[in-house]
Amino acid sequence: MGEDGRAVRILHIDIGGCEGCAVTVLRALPLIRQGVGLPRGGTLLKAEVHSKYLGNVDLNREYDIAIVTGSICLKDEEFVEKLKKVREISKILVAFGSCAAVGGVTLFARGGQLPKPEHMVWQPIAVVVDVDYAVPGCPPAPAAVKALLDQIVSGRGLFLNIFASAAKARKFSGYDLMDDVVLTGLCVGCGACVLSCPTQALQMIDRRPDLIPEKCIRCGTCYVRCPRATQVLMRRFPARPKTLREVRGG
Amino acid sequence: MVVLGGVSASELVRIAGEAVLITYCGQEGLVERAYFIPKAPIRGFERLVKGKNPLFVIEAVKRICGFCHSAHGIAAAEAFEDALGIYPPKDGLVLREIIGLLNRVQSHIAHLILIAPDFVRVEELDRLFIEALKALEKVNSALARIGGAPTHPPNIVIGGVAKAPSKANITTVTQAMKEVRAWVAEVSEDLADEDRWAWKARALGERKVSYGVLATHPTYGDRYSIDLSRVSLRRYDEIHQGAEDPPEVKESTSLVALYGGDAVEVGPRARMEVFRGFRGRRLTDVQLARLLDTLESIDRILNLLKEVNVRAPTKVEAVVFKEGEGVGVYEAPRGTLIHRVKLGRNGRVESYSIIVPTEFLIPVIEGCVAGLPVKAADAVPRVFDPCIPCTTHVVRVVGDG
Repeated sequence: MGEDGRAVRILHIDIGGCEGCAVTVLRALPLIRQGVGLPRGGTLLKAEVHSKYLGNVDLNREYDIAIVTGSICLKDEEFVEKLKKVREISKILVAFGSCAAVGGVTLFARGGQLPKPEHMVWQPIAVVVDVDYAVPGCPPAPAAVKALLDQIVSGRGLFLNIFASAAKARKFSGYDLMDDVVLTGLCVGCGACVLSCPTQALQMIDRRPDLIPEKCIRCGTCYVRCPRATQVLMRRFPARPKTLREVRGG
Repeated sequence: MVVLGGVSASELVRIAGEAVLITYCGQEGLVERAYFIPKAPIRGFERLVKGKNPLFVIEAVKRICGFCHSAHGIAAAEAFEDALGIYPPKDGLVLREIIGLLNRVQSHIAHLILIAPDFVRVEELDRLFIEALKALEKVNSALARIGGAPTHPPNIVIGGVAKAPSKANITTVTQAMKEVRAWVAEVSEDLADEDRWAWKARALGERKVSYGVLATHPTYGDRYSIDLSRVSLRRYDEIHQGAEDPPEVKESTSLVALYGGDAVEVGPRARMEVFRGFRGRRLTDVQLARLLDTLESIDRILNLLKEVNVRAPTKVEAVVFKEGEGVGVYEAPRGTLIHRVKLGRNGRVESYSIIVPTEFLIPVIEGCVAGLPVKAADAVPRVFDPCIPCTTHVVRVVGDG
């Protein structure tokens, strides 16, 4: 595959979250260091990770894949500019974790706190830049980073379509799961949403999930975990996944 | 970047969050004064939780920080329980203490990964890095088994802990934590060996910490061991309003906390000094105390695991939210964390305030940088393990006094 043999340059950057997702990316490093891609019948490339935790971030270079964690505060120009810069220097941009992907708990932010009361609007990063993949989860598992990277490099896999559509949707939560799947009668009662919920806001009642509304933090994890909701998602927001080979022009 | 006899500003790497360290130094290349300025934007959790149901609030505040999630969860639970006049059953408290300590160990190990290059020589770094990540995975899995998740554990609830772990989980966690303890003990010995220190650690070893200390409890937190009326919050540009201060002081997104009007050191070294008679006061001792704190926490976890009765109740059933005020004080990995809540007549949050350890540590960090060679200055914030997500997401609310 010619020039595809080059190591995959991965940038990780956090722009304003709790850093739980950032720690997840750090935890995934031993997995990523073993190479990304599919070992059998596909490409397995070396990966080169740049992260603040490793002290080797350089925003004046180009990257194949950028993993962005944290949502964007629209009232903080410095960070908005930084995010735009990250988009410019990266071929593929992944919004990793609920805050970056769908806004998560930061959507509830109202501002009004010293010393910067103007920091009142927090949004998923797709509001500011084009996002290629969005992975909700509070936080997602380290294996999710590795699996998505593998699939982007090898150009195939189920995650690609789901997370590319999620990047376009920008918004989903437990309420959307109820509206789109449970209340419409599409639910098969598999319980995946209940297991995936990071705040135990979903409970199973008579083999149907039920949302405890005050516990939902709008992270959207249940929605991408639901086998039915993801079908709805991919039909409603059709997206063509970007692969490494495509962006490298191979 | 080194500037002799001038000012230099550098974005700090290998810390939790975005911050800048500005140093002014004299002709000998020694720092005369320094400014530690968190830059991350403010999510404003104190405003965010206003008017909300406590069930939402406890889940939300865990998300202030991805490093010390359980600490915020426990401090919030304690504050709500204080406000409602309820007390969790014994097993709830035991499990909660275990969850909190697992989080402490988790945070200390994650921090070890970040600080390692300052202490360890390059040739040993890679091995330590991989081993630390392996140990971190063991702790994460333990926290998932007892707390329900490795990050933002959902089992911390108002009134206790959502459910008891199975006997099998207790056995697995006990085994895993024994392995982690053996590894931490080994690393502690390695890091205490001054002959093997990297040059930054040697520079830190020359400088002493000379602040008062504040700690409320060795392994949990105690609202009765602190005089809350002595804690005050100041704007960063209030404590630095001299003509010689750089304009960047206005950009800080954090406040500063003082105790009795003075800067106090909080965190592992303070805990070790107050409760264990730890005498070391060099900057490197802050890290060595952190490792001791890790070992003590694991020992406590192992003892508490023996006490867990998997059949006993773990929480107060049917908590009714009503009017009240409460305080939760907890020893987070980085030091004393204070949550205060006022519930309205409808049982929803009327006001909420949080003081985090890094707010206490900002003036301490700045004071300790002074006198160090400018090249080593960036290691000082790191050795105190500041947590920017915490500081920039919990500050005084405008207009609420």
